[in-house]
Amino acid sequence: MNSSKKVVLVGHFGVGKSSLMRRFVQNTFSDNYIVTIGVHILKKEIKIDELNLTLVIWDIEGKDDIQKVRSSYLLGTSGFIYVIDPTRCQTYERFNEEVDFLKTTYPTSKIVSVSNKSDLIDIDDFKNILEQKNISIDYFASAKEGIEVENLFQKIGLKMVKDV
Amino acid sequence: MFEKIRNKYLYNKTQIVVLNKQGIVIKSDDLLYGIPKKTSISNFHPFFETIISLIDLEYNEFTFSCIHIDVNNVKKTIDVIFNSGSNNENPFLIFIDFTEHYNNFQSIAQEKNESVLSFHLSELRNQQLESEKNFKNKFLANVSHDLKTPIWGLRFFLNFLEKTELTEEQLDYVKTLKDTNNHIHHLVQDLLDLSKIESGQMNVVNEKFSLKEGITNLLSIIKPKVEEKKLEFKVAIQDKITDELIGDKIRLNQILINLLDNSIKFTKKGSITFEINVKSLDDDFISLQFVVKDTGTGIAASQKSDVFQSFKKLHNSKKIEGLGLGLSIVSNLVELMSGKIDYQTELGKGTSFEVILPFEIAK
Repeated sequence: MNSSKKVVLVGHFGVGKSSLMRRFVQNTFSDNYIVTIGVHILKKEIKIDELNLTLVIWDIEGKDDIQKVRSSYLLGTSGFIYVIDPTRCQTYERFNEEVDFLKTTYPTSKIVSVSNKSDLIDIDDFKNILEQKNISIDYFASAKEGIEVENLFQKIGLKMVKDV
Repeated sequence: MFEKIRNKYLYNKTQIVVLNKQGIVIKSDDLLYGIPKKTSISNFHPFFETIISLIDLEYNEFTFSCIHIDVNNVKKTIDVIFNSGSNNENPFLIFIDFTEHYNNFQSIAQEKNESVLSFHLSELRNQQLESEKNFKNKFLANVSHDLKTPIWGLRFFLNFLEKTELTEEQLDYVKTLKDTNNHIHHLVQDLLDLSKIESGQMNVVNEKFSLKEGITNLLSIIKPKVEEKKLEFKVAIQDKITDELIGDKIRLNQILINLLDNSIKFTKKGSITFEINVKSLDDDFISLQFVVKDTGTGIAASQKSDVFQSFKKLHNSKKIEGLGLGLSIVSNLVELMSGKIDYQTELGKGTSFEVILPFEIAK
């Protein structure tokens, strides 16, 4: 069986949304930061049990407020991956508020959260900081090192298919 | 006229694609991209996979801005208008090529975002450096403090032992132990000083002192060390230097002892020169120039930037003891005393350090 779902990467600029997408789809990484304007779209097929699921991934330009994202970009989205940068607290200060907005506005969509650039920090220390701020992050990934990238895309696929 | 201008400037900037209700391409004028007919538009680029699901919606029109579509070496950034059609009308797409406009916008955004990110990165690096520095200073202060107690205890009991009935050989052993203990004491004191300087706890005390008396004491400590290495010691103190000054005599002594000890340490033969000159003088203040010159090993050009860095030993020889803190402490103390330090060096020929310090003249 085949199916196709739209997944949108959201979060502030410079958190590594494009890097996560490229690591997942093309298995490449570049240290050169290139600002995304508008949207880049790539797709990759994953397997969830017997289902061949095509993830159509929308890498949209970073915004410090999810409500500033062009609504047309989010039309028909089945899954969101919310990306934060652990080295910049501005990228997760309003995390709970932003995730609540997505849940309310797109109630049927699934959300997976990820802290990218985990190669730059002490993950245990950062988990303590998040705990103090009552923020729950699903994955601590590194697009640079290829850590947890496959898992987080697999997870959003599973959530969308199994409706969990 | 209008048509001519339109053809020249707008004709090749747009494309119209007509679909059927299943998303199959029926017509396309292919002015921007060559799109195969009678195939699903979603095969052309993944962007259109999402569009197809909108065909089922009632008559509606959507605009998608700034979509990067790179197919068959045609790389453009376009706005896409999608009309979902009606009972009488097929769905259609209009592409408008804004590549040039978006490329300009991208350059501006790149510059802006890079400056924000680089600011955050340097802030993060500063925090890391600060925390490493604080850890180092706390560690050094604690370790040095803890080491001082046993060193003093050892010194106390060695003095006792020295006064008991000992053979010549045993006395020699005690002397070696005392020298070693003194050396450890100096190293620990250097560590403590450095941690105080770097944590901003080192204070300069301004009190009245006699320069002549201080220099006499200094020379009495240095002379035996110079003689032991059979070096020539040249002392040149300018006449009629104001004697009664206000400043930190202990730190001045520390600076000069460190510089002279260093010179002796790195000089195998030749001479050590010590000079004091008046650099400037008025009714209230005097600025003194202290010069310590040697005919020692000199400093390699590649190490010049390390001269005043802590824990940077300029010579790898195991025969030359120390932690590489002396000159770092000296330069920090000179700065604390509002002075200046500089040096000239030539590898294999020697080094000359010049320290200029201001003092208030005691009334």
